[in-house]
Amino acid sequence: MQRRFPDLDAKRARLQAGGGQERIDKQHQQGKLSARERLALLYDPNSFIEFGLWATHRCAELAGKEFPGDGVVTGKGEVHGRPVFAFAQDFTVGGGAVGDRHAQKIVECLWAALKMGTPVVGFNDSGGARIQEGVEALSGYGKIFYHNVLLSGVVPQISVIVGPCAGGAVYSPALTDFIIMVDSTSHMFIAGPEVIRAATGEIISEEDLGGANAQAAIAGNVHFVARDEHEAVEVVKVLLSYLPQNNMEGPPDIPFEEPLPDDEALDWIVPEDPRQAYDVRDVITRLVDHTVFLEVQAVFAPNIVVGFGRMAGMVVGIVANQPAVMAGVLDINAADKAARFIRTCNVFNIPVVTLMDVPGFLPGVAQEHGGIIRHGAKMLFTYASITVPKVTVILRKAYGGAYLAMCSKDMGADSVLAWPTAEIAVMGPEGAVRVIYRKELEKASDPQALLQEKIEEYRQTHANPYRAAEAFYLDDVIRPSWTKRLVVERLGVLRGKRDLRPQKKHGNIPL
Amino acid sequence: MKKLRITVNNMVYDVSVQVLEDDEQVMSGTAYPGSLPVPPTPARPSQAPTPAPASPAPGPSRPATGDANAIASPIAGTVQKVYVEVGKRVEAKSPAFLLDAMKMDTYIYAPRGGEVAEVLVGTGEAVQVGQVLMRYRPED
Repeated sequence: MQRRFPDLDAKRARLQAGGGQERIDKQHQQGKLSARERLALLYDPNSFIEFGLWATHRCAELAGKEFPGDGVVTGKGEVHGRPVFAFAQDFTVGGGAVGDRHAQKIVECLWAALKMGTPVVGFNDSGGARIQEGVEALSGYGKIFYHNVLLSGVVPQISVIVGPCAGGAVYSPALTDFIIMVDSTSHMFIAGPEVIRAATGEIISEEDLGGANAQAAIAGNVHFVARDEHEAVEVVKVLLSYLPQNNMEGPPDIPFEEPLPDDEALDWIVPEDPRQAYDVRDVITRLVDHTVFLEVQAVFAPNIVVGFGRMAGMVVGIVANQPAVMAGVLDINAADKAARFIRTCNVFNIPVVTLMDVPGFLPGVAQEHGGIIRHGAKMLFTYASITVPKVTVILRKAYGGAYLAMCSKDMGADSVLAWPTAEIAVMGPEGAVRVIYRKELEKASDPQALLQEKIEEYRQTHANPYRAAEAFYLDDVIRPSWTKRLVVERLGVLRGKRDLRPQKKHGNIPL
Repeated sequence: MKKLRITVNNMVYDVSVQVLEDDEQVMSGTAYPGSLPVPPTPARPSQAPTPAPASPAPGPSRPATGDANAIASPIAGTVQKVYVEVGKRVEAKSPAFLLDAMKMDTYIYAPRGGEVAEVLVGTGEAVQVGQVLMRYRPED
């Protein structure tokens, strides 16, 4: 059958083909997908509406060159029935380089998301700025960054790095809420290996410098590492399932009618010997529904565990010290990781459940000179300033400043529960005894025996939850097996929480 | 679209079901609203349906040395036990050292399997953060 407007069909087909089949095949050979394939993975079938298919550059130096969509596909679609805006840079079109029209398309996508109160997902696969466009390209980046900041705290922004993302371009993802990288096909850095070699003489590969694992485990810039792009998009969908559409809504809680029986295994999870560790993730998976926990930044600062789960259907953010790694101490990286995550929860109205077993802040010259005071302060500042429901459970150690940094009652916890294994004190028994009985220990005929005797005495008087409970710093001392039920009850009570604060532009968090 | 009535725990739910294959045929011919191709599936063994990235075994962050053949201490402490021996193989994720750090037992696990070329610390020795504890024989 003959169709009318054959020219239009041909033009549309050419634009939709991006840089052409040959270049798309090349993407596939590298384990990458095309921009449109990425959006197809993200969106429910037939839900995609494209903006700016016809838009292209207006650069005189590039006159005559065709850049379908100006190297980026933008639009709106649905993810499990919920509207989500997205843009996907098209590496097959001029290397996905950013020119002024390309940037305009992204900015208009961000604006639309802001107006509709809808999350935005960005797929970054770009060689960088389109050099021929000069300052216009730079201005494009600037406008994208500005809008990323404008949207921050209003709608969730998720960045997926699916190719190169270097130089100034890294700052768009860096300004968003979550970054997902794909192992071995994506790279992020400010200055690449060549520039570094010229500047400092250091020799390093792209992968070691800015590959997914380096960015996730060492730098801590990235929240998730996916094996391939399919998995990366799955992570986006799972992440969205915990987040509200915008800051005016609650997170997507789901109905939960099941009973919450006692979980006897929790009664046995903390070892008798205080020297021994346990994996706090075993506690977390017993508290969340169906053991489903989405750990965020799993490989960075693993001495603290953060992530999303549901408790009786309610979305919660969980922050937990990890005694199995570095004794669960708070250090610079752990403080940064936790503070960032807790603020993300607050912005999106997600209650925070804190599981405390912390021996203290990490001592050491590197930590002090690295600014542990400033970084640790972020945690204290964050817990005190967030207004979502906060429930803290003290599993074992709660020593000194770290006890306060992990959201004690005084730092704004709405409810604090403690297991009978809790030890709430200014410092651990041995350290405390050595300070209190320094003179006696020096004079003693058998200092070891005296030390042991005093440690035991200290344990009895300080290293337990009862003194703190009597002083009403704890709401209750509970059997660990009751934890889920009691935390859920308290979260239920806190649903209507209103936390009024003095008017200000914003607090001055130490950065 | 098909309408179905489902009963769960005596609760009756009316649901509409869109059969995608059928409906897609209806759509074909009109490449609007958006035209998105079907992406190729990657060649990898399909197993776990849960997409959340696998959590690693609890372990320290990467050695601070940047040397792939070295295990560095993630924390300052005192060596309590050494489980590795020069010339012997160590398996990935098995304990290599036990440290006393922050008055707790802290295991240092081997990040990968390989032959031990050098053990640089002994029981009772104090170690600093970032100090190399052992080296693997380099693999070619």
